[in-house]
Amino acid sequence: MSNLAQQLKELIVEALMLEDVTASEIEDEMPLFREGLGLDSIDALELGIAVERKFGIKLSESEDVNREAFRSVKSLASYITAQQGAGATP
Amino acid sequence: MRFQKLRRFVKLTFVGLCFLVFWAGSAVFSWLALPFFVAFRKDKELVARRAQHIIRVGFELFFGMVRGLGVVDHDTRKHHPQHRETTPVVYVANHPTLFDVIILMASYTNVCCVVKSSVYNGHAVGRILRYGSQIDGDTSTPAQIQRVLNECADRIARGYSVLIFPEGTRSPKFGLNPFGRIAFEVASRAGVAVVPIFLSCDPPALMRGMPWHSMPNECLHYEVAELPAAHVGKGRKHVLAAQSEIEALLRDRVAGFAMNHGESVASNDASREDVGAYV
Repeated sequence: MSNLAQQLKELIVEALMLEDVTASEIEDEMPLFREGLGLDSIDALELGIAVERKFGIKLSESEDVNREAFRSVKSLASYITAQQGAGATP
Repeated sequence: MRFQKLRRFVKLTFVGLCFLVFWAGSAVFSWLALPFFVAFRKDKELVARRAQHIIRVGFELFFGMVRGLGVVDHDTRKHHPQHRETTPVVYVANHPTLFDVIILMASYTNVCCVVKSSVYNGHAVGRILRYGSQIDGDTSTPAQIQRVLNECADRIARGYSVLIFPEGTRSPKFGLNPFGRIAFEVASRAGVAVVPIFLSCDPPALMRGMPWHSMPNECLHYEVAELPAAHVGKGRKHVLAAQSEIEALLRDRVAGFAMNHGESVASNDASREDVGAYV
């Protein structure tokens, strides 16, 4: 999980071209939007595309599920792990 | 006293008549006039341009009636936008009153507006807006945001300017809601300028939380001022810088307007959730 979390932090910085924050400054449970990292709706869109590409998963069609998944790095890592697990199950 | 009551009655009758004519007129245009103008036309671009012409002329006529009844003194025919009929731009405007969209769409040609989703998908004015290549403003999910970005890019590529109200909803009285990023992202990706438009209505009326029947007796004076165009560089940093700069520019104008009315600027902590924005 910690390796995945680290990959996600690096992906956030790289995919969104964040210049004023480094991967090491992003905490696992820091909210990604609003008062936390301060990402906005277009960041959510771009991050979603980047996550789908990098981890080969498909985001949920339910906005509530996605909203919860993208709450923090920790919740996103859990979501990706669950999706990859589900994909590997025959 | 009796004269005052009569004046009030006449005023409210006129204002009510304006709204009635707007919705009834939109329905008539959409269901009777529009099919006549676009019938048997397979060229979608021609249909869009005709529908846009109907929208502009219809709104201009509507505003002529509103002006004739003494509700508003603004003449959309006398407002000559600096960018009219030239290169596409992204217009961003504050949104103090219910008449803003009508004023701007009557004043500008070759403009596609990102419209409130419930209006866009409605049966009256929505029908003609859809024919006229206007854009559904639903940004409630990332997929919808992607659609809005794509549609804005499409309109600019087709030679239209795009009009976006970056607050996503009407401004609070004497204030401004936080701006969303879409307008600036569109300009950055398309490599076109952003032209801010400051709108004000004096005395304040038809603002958020102000029902139509609370309209003051005085004739409303609108100001439509184009502010200097800004160019947005590529990338998140430049987009956010332009968003913040133009929001501050319009906030200053709103503050000046509020001060002239002895008011301070309303706080900008309004939630964007009420407009269905994703964050």
